[in-house]
Amino acid sequence: MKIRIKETEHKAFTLVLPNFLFTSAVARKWLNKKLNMELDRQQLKEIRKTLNKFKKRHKEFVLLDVKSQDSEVQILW
Amino acid sequence: MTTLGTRLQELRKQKGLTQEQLAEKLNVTNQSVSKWEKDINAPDISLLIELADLYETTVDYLLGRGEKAPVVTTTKKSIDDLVCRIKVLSSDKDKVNINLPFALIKVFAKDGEFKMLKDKNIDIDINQLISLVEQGVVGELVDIESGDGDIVKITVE
Repeated sequence: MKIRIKETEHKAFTLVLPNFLFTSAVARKWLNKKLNMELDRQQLKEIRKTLNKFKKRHKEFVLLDVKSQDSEVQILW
Repeated sequence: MTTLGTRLQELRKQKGLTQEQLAEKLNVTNQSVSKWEKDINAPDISLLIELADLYETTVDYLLGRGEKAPVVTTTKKSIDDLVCRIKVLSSDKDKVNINLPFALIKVFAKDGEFKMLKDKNIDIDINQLISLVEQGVVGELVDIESGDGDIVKITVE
């Protein structure tokens, strides 16, 4: 998984994280905070499996693409 | 460029209608329909609107403005192959695009709603959306503007 972040005052940078990390620690916290969702391990595993299937068909599946006035964030699976 | 006649013919065939059946629905003659599809004549404006409604598309599409596919159509693809694209254009010009495999929508839509959209005062019945897609309906299924001026589009393809 890649997270690309670009802020107007800073250089763009890309974080490369293993997919399992996203669907364990990162996703769990983020989904809980942003979407008020409590997902168990099995559900997170399902998410990872489904996304991995898509990865086979799309070279870099863009999960999230946010553009605001001063920053850009892209999450690629 | 695809002509109005070609588009009308394609959409009529997709809908499984004959020229006669379409003529009867619109209260015009078979010859009129035939002439529209051969680009000899064009339907008048009020009929164009009726045609767009009947074919579940836009007058813009019929008139060849862009190559955009009809707004809503049907598919035989499995739900596992579909992607749900959620686009939010906020009133302060921030753009958020979320692409999710459709199979994950049920997981993300807690109690039939997206909290992210609910927070923006946009109330969408996700269960209804899921039910439509399960019946094979795809395309731009949601296009709404909230009271705060945020525009939300949900496309399944």
